[in-house]
Amino acid sequence: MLFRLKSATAALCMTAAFALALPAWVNAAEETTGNAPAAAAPDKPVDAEAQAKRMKNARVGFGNNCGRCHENFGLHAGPGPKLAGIKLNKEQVVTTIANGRNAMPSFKKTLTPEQIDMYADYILSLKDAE
Amino acid sequence: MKPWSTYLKGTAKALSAAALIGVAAQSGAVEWDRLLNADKDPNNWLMYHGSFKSWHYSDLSQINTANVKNMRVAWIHTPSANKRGVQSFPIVVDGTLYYTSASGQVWALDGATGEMKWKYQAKLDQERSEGTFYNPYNRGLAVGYGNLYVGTTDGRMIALDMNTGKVVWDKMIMTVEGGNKGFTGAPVVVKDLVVIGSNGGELAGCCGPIFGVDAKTGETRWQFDTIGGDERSKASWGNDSWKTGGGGGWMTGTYDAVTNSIWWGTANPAPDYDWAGEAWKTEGARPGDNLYSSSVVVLNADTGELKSWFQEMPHDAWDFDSAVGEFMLIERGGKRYVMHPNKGGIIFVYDADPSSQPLKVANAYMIGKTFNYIKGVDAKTGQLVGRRELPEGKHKNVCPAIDGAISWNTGSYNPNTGLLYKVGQEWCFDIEVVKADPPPAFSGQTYFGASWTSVHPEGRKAFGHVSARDPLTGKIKWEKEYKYPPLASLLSTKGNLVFVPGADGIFEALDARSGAKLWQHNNGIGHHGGVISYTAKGKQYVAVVSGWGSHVSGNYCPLFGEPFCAMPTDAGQLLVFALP
Repeated sequence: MLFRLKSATAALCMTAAFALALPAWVNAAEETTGNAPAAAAPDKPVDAEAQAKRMKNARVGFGNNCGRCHENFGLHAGPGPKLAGIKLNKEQVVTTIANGRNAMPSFKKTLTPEQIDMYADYILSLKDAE
Repeated sequence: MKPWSTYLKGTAKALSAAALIGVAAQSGAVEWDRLLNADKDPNNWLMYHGSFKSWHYSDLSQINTANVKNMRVAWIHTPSANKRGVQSFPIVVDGTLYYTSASGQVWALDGATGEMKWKYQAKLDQERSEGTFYNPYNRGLAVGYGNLYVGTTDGRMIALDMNTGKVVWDKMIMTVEGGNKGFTGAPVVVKDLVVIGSNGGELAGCCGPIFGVDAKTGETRWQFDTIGGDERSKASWGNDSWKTGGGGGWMTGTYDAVTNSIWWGTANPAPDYDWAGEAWKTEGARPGDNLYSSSVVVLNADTGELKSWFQEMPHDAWDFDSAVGEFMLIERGGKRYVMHPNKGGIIFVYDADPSSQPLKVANAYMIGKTFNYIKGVDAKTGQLVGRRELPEGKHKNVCPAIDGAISWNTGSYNPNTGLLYKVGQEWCFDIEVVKADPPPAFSGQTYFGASWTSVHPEGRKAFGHVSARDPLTGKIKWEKEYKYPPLASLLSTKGNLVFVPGADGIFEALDARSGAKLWQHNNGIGHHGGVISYTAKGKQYVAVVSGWGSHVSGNYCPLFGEPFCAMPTDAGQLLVFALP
């Protein structure tokens, strides 16, 4: 678990909000991986330092999980497309990671909702320098 | 090395096993004796590697160097599911051609006309299949005892009646805890078993099993775990890291009747890239050698017990699997050898006798050219020399890239020329290795440990080559360079031809003796699957599958641009050629 929850109430609220967005695969992930407990929704940091740390973790995690296809941490096209500058909103990115797209596999059973949320934020933070 | 006569007992034992199976012969049925002697049956293509010798050679010569210029398309079949292209090897039995396409499709066609006899569509667990990194392609079938056998991306094996396409049995073979793994490789029939290996090198979660499945009932008779299956293996993964260690055996091995042994190659460990660098023996994500990942394993065919092994990449730091390719059984000077390629661009030549642990290496040589991940390989011991470790951080121009100098396509050995024909591919990457948190044990989470960008080798553009060389010594007879590295398998024939299905769609025939191009046809899309030859109604055909979209092929657009950026990844065909 990358982020500690401040309170059970907050955790439940976040879980409920996340579940409303994507109830089916959140439940599937919880049932299958066993590493996404009910109180495991993202607890988004608000201060800049915490946000920078979160993005640093996201970059490492994204590279580890996704960097084989989305080369150079999403900055370069490879077997998968370049993600920097992608024209999708947060919900679309989350849905794509969860359900897959074209040759991209579905990650809803192997990544936690927290990871998917964090990677979506990371992808949308990438600047298209090329 | 024991003399041949010593092995006769073993061969007789293998032959007698066929009698125990007791399946009634029928038209087109393939009994064990026929499989065992597939190398003497050029009219058919009875298994993924052609025969247990794994030569990918056809003893047919109707089509030859003199007349190949007249070869034309005889018929074409377009499967209805071909996402990521057609990647399989057809099988031919008595004039009927069988092949698989993506998403669980199996086709039976008339080998002379292409007329459809039947089609089978497996009902797959889409959530599990689409959740795997290895989807939806399939690389082939096995045949035996009136059935066809195919693995599925959701971990099942299905036996189909070869005459009707009806399901004989359908069994869940690979149950998983959390993770998404399954089968994409072709099974092989070994006596009364069907043997298949799982995918999963990059997926956190042991144990990368290879299965021996009862050909009649579909019951699993044995399971060999490529990682964590014995104490030697567990001891070679510090901190119980075998539980997130990948492994598997995703391509097709072979059987050596002389020693009653199955030879199989295993996949890389996870994470592919370990942040430990030089300290990998005691530190990092997976401290130790990580047996039996990136290894050759030799199993007792009846029990699945490990007889011997050789780890081609101890603590594989580059994702250079041993799962790729073929185990070519070659005899010379009264001695028997097994030739096996590794993704790192090394050809290992083993003594075929598995009684020593680890296996004895007779020779090892590089076919890659631009490599810098090692300085070389010790020809006498097979040990890597001058490893370039990749600790946490950035590394420029590491060669070859993750895709290797050799991919999963097979080479071909021609006993008439005495030459091994093999593709090599040459490009590199700039990589940044990260220190990621280990994923939960058995989670099936992708676990690469790095991200990278494919780049050209220093001083020149990426390229490929097909070489013809002595398989045991590595001495080159000829070599042909390709602007775009071929990714498909090769076929050589008694007609002194080598068929090369190209990445750009050009399918060509070379003179096996000189490499001179004698014929070509543009199939309109890249190839990264099989090529075979057979006869139907007395006439020789050459069949090749087409289609683009494998993981490795994904590098071609960024490296080469067109025609690859515009090449579809949801198209593919079976194309069959013959003389007029």
